[in-house]
Amino acid sequence: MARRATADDRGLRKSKWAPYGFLSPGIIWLVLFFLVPVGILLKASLSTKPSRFEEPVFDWNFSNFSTAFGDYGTEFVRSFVFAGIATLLAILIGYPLAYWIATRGGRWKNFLIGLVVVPFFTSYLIRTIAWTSILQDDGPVVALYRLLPWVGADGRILATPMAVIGGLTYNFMSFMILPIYVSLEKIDFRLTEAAADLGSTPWGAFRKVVFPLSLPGVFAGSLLVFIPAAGDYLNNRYLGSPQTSMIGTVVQNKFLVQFDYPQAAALSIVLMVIITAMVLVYSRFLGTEGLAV
Amino acid sequence: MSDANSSEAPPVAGDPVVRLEQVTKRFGDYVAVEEADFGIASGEFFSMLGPSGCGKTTTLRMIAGFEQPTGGRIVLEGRDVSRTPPHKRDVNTVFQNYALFPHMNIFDNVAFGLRNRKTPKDVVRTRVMEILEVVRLPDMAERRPNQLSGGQQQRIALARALVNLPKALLLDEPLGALDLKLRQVMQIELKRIQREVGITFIFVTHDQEEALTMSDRIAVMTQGRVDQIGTPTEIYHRPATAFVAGFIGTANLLPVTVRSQQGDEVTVDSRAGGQFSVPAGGRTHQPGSDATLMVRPERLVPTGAPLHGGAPAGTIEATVTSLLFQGPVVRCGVRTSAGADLVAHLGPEDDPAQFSVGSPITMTWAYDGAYLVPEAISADQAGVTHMDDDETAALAAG
Repeated sequence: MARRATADDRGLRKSKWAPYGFLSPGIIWLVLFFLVPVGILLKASLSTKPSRFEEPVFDWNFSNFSTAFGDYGTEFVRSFVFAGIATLLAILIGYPLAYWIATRGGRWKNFLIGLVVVPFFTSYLIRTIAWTSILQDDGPVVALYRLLPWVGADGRILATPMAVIGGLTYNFMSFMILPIYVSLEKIDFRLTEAAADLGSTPWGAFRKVVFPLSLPGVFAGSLLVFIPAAGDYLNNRYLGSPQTSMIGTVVQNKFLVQFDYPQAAALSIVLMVIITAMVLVYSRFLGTEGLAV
Repeated sequence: MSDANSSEAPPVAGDPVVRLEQVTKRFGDYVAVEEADFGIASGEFFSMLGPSGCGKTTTLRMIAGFEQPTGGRIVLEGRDVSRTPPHKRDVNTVFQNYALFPHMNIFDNVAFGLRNRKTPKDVVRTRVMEILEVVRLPDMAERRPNQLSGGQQQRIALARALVNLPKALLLDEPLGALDLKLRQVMQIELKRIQREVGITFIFVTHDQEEALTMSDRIAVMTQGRVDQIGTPTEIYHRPATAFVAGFIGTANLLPVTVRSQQGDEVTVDSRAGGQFSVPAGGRTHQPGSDATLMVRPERLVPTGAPLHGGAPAGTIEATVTSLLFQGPVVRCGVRTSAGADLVAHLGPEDDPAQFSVGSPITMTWAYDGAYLVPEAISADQAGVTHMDDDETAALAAG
């Protein structure tokens, strides 16, 4: 009797704790490498650094936050505008591509999706630096660009917002294409037949059936592009100028050049909070629940 | 379509709603539909019946506009629509998997076609609620498709198509995904709804029982060709080909040669010996030509049992190979002296208790109980067209 009870008991406990067992690597990982750093960051953001070479002292110094808003408002706004435009461009370019692969790819589907990921075989930094030589002032791209009527003979692309936004769009494009492709792939295209049967033109069927059903992919892709783009500094560093500097540039500069950890930490936290708020609003607006098939 | 049965098909009242003229569909070298040529009358419940791959779904998809014929014309109310895209055709489809829009509620699903035609808002509301009433799901308007059972989704798919009052409603194996009980309920429902709305139904199925129950006329198809078009009774009792005889119900087939014809009475020689008289079925049979004698299991009886439909047409000596009790009838398998396996359904009046496996039996049928199919069959096609697993086992053991 006793033995049996123990066995039952153990079986019960096993089933109860098993999910946590499976979750624990992830939980430990997140605590160690997310929660702890965020705590450290929070502490640093409320500290004062007496001088460049001294350790910061925690003293509830909220002035870091007022400086963040007061002195770097332009960089924040510019970051979100650049990231927003890059996200929009990525949708405009990525959606048709994903759509084409999902509907016309046939047996080449996996190969074509593989091609979308190929840029990742080269480092992000190298790809961005490669753009500087593509867009250099005496290169063919700029030569063509100068032919445009509103561009003067000394027009350039490098060091302009155009180059930075272009770089952001290019670098994060795959993150837009992949989730859109996945959501389009899932759609039963007999639904477009049903729409046509009920009097929809091909465009009408796309607008009323396919596009709404692919919104979860567009939503996921937008987050995956917007969030890293808003905090990015590499594209601005190599393709932009001080006039196009984004908040990531400032943070990187504060942390690694000026060693102003408290200010850098405060800026990071403000960026994080704003992005989180924006994501919440966006998901409300584009509510994905109920779209699940 | 064989020319033999064109005289049997009832005259189509007025102009047909849908007319297929020599319609052929090829996919590369593969001929999916070969010269389909028939009309479907207004208000008719028309079924296309056949095994999978016979071309029935392709034919339906051509009528809907999802496929274009490689040859021939499709005429919808006098207008050639062979090249018209689906959204410009006045027909609607109920899809096999329902294809309800998962991101819309039931109301929006049903209203989809009306809104595409810019119907005023209040009209949309009235029409949608009316049709939901017809399919008996008026309370589901706010639900999502995935909150409905299979049978309910089926009704909504029907409502979504019917609300547009199409010239013809196309149904692609709509009951295939439902379980048997629900399928039988829906068969009756479909028939009721069709009477209520008075729209032409073109129904595709591989289930012969379903087709027999619901249809006014059936086109039996095999390998891309239409073998026969006729009412369920005609198709069951007067099959145009051996395939039709075997596909609709169970049939005992015997290869025969025509000896002579006098009026409506044909005398045939059985390949296995014996001579029988068979009604000609309105045809002229050439003496010396090969044909197939068909007797349905319910018409095949042991000698001495009461006969319906005229004098005995002849006798066949056989041995009982299996007896399966099936409730209303006993399914009795026999093997003729020539080696063909036949099946007879014995009712209480046939006194099945007197037989046991292995006992000799003499089978007969009434003159009117047989039908002469004007098509030759090979020796290995002789015998019953469908055998129970138990019968096959009994034969293997015996």
